[in-house]
Formats: sequence, structure tokens, C-alpha cells
Amino acid sequence: MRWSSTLKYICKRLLMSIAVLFIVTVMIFVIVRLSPGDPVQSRIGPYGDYSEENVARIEKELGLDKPMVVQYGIWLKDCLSGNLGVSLRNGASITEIVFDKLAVSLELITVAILLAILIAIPLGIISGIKSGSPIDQAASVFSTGFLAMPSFCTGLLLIVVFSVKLKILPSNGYVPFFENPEMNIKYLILPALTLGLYLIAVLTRFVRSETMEVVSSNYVRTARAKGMPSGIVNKSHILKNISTTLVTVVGIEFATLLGGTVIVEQLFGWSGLGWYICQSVSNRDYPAVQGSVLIIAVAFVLINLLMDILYVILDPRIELE
Amino acid sequence: MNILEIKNLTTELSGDRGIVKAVDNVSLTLKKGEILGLVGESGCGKSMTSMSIMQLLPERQSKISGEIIFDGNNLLDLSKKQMNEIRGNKIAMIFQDVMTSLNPLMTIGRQIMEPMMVHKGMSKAEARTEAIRLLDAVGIPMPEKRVDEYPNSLSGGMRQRVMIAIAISCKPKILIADEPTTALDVTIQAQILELMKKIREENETSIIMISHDLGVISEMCDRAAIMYCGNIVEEGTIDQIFENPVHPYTKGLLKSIPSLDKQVDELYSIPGVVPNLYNLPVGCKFADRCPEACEECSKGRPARFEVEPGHYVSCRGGIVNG
Repeated sequence: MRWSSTLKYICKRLLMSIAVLFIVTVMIFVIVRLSPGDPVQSRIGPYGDYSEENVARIEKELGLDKPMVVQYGIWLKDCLSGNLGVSLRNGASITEIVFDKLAVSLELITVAILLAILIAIPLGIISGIKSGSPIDQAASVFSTGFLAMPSFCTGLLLIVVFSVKLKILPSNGYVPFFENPEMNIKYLILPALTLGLYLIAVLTRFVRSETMEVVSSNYVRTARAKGMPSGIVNKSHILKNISTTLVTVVGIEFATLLGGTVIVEQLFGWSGLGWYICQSVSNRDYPAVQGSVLIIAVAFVLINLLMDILYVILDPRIELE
Repeated sequence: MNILEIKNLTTELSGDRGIVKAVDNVSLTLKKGEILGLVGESGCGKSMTSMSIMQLLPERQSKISGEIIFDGNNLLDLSKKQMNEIRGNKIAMIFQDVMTSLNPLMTIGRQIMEPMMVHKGMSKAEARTEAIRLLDAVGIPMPEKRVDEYPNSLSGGMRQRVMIAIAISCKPKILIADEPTTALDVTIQAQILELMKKIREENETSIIMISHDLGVISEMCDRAAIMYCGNIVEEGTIDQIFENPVHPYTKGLLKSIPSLDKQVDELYSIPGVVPNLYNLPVGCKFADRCPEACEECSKGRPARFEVEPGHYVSCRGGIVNG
């Protein structure tokens, strides 16, 4: 019975996601056009031909002479068929570029998140169970520190230590993994650590406070009254009950990082999606910005959908109707 | 035969405002197969006594001293591992907060199976069969179906039945029931109490029944101990306590039960308030509210003495009057 209603629930969520995405496309389209700057200008360049005919010709070529609604309609139709347009800058297919860059960003984000999960979950649980202990206090200093420190600061600090002083890791650059795995990883370590330290700080705090709440709950008292060894109490009664919070925090952080790695990617020359958006905005490359933001939005919505499905699997209390 | 002997149990809790003696020099015995009532107002230390026996209080904030003799061992001397082998296995407990005491993310079957798998070394399949049998025994309809459900699909009374099934799963020698019916409807209360009586008869389980409800205590128990401010002020058989109360606090409690026979405009209540645990009087803790208090009462703690065989009172007035 629960399975059929689960399926119904997922379908409903899916429909809602589509509605959200539709609204997102409208917003992206409008915001990009409201932002200052002119794509024609950026196409012609500072010393090009600004005669009326030339401007009109380029506007026509870019489709900018048509009414906004028509422009939107064309863009939406193209997007649905997987064509995000071509870059105003160099005429390359944006679909291709964006997915390439997305993969580059995903490598960085995934490693950072895995690092955070591996360290923050045990640390947060220990801190929560033994709140006030030396471990908890150390973890608290650590997480407050890295929460307060902006990522460019952490990044610069890591560069100074590992690239300038110790000279063991490169400070800036990117090589695709399949071209040179060793160099790829060397380039990856510092930006992943920069993001990872921040994520560890965020996640540790969440896990700690959630653990403290669960530890003092009546059902954990029941588990102890049953004489369960602490291993079972920790695994089946504490970890399981903080899992929904974990899914939420990790999911949101993951989704946020998709478009939020701009600074770290710039700092370390890691040419991912954040880096690409930055470039495209300064070039007034409308289709590139639209395409990248759209892909991030789609990813965001998909991650949310995945989270909703995970909730249903993890927590039987969630109402399906 | 005494199955549990508590001698001079004192539990100190440390909080932000200092240290309080939640349980103060309590001595109690529990006989095999008997139901002992622990009565008192909220905050009098009855739950703290049971939590001290089970050692479920947060270690950092509590200090327990005295002796709790069970099976020839002082529970307070046992290691964590040894205590785990007793909890849920030989001494089990059920709680008042039925809505929050079961893990919401675990099937009720799993929650009943856990102690049997850990303490009795049962396989999953054996434990599951036993869990279904237990659910049936505590009066849950369609146990084969219920076993795979989560607590959120059960009513309060059903959840308390599940708690009882968990508690009796390993056939404990002692069952501590901390206000097991307080959160339930009156009709459900009666059913749960009947169930507990049945458990006592079938397994000769000794039960410590904690309640503030004198009706429940007189209905259920063989003996009762009255607690006030961390002390046991009077202890005796149900007849002794209800027919011949000696301590003024017990008398006050009994007087405050509404009666159907008499028409009264105002219900009786004991004058005054419970003293602040952070700032207790030197003398008898009840002296300020006691209608029978004399000068002596505020000078030192009253000694415990036996009024009649098995009937103990801690009161100076008792000496003077009796």
C-alpha cells in the first residue's frame, strides 16, 4: 500500500518540480535581460564598427530584434530539445561547454562533500554525545573558526602554506582527470580542502545539535533501558534518527555549491561551472549565462526531488497524501 | 524473599543552580512477586529513584551513592557492560511518555526484537516469532501485521502495550513502571493495569509501580511507600497506609482524594508549598506545612521507626503521639 502511495507522491513531486523549473526559466530570461550591458557591444568590441546597419545586422543575427515573448519562446523550445544555444563570444555550443564545466565542478564538489561527510558525521556525533568534553570543545572552536573564515581566506592560507612555503602542491590550474590523473589530483587537493573545511564546519554543527537533541530524547532513554550496548544505541537509534537532517544539509550544501564555487574556482583556476559563469557574465554572453544558470537550476530541483524521495524512505512519519 | 534491597540510596543532581539531593537516603525492599507502589507529588524523587536503580541518569550530572542489592550484587559497583546485561533483561522499565518513548523510525517489531537478540542471543527469525507472540499477549490485534508497522500508526494505549511487550520480552525479574497510565484515557488505564497484574501472576514478576494516583496504587499494589522531597516518609502494606496512616503528609494526601459520598464545596489541599530543593530546612522537610508539627520538628531530620510490623514512618510526631 505504501509503495503505490509512494509512487503517487513521487509523481506529484515531479510535476511540482516541472512547474518550478518553468518559473525559473522565466526568471532567468528576464533577469539576464535586465542586467546592465549590451551583448551587441560585447560582440562588436570597443574598436569595432558601430554603424546602424551593422548593429541592426548583429541584433537580427542574435535574434534580439524580435519581441521578448518570442525570444523567450524560441529559447524555451531550444532548451527543451537540449540546445542551449551558441556562445555569443565564440559560437561554440553552450550545451557542450556547460556539461563539460559541470563535470569539472562536480569532481571538486563531490570530493569536498565526501571529505566533509567522512569527518563531520563522526565528529558531530561524538561532540553531541559527549557535549562539553574536550573533543566537543575542540570541534566547536574548529567549526566556529572555519564558518567565520571566508573561503578565499582559507584558500589563500592553504596556498601560502602548501604552495609557497612547502612547495608540495600547485596553487593554480586544472588538468582533466583522464589526461593526467596524478596532476588532476594534485590540482584538486587545495580547492577541495578549502571547500571541505567550510563544509566540515557547517555539517559538524548540524550533526552535533541534532545528536544532542536525539540523545536526550525519550526513545534513546528507552533504548538504554533495554540494555542496548552503546554501539547499537549510536547506530540504530541515534544515527538513524539524525539521517533526515543529514540528507537535508548535505543535499542543500551540494546544490548550493553547484553555483557557489565561483570564488574557490577563480582562486585556484579550477575551470568549472562557477568559473565559466563568471567569465560569461563579464562578457555579456547572454546564452551562456542563461544556459549555465538553467543547468544549475535543473540540478538543484533534481537534488531536491531526490531529497524528498529519500525522506519518504527514511522517515515513515512523512505524510504521503 | 527480597529480590531488591535499596539501602541509603542518595542521588545528587548538579544543574546550573547548584546541587540538589533528588533522592535522599532512601531505603526500600521489594519482595518476589509483589507490587510495590511509590507515591508522591511530581518532583518528590520517585522517578529519580527508578532512574537511579536503572542508572539511566546522565553520568556527568549525577552522583549516586548507597547500595542497590540485586542478585547478590550492588548494582552501583557494576561495570557499564554488566549493567547493560541487567537492564532490559533482568530489570526492565516502562515510561510515562508513551508518545515519545518509542523510536519513530524503527518498526515496533524491531524494537521488541532488539533486547531478545542482544540479551538472549536469539536469531532474527526466533525473535520475530516471539515479538508477534508478545504483541498478541499484550492485547494488540493482528500482531502479524502490526509487527512491521511504525509507532506513528498506533494509539497511545497501543504504544504503551508495545512498551510493555518490550519490557517483558526477556522475562525480567523486576519491572519498574513509571506512571505507566498517566498519559492514557481512563478506560485504557484500567486495561493496562489489568495487563500488568496478569504479567505479575504469570511470571511472578516483581513490580515497582510509580504513581501520583492513589486510586491506582490502592487498586494495584500490595505495599506502598510515600515519598516527599526525596525521602520516604511512610511505608507499609496498602491496608496499613490507607486504613491507618501515621505521617501527617500521608493523611493529607488521603484527605485530598475527592469522595463521592460527601458533598463538599472545596476540595482539601495540603497548605503551603513543597520547599525549594536548593534551600531545604534543617529539620523535617514537611514541618512548615504540617498541622501536627512541634518545635522539635524543625531541629533535625526525623528518624525512621516501625509503628506496627512492616509499617514504617519517619516522623517525630509519631513518637510523641504514638
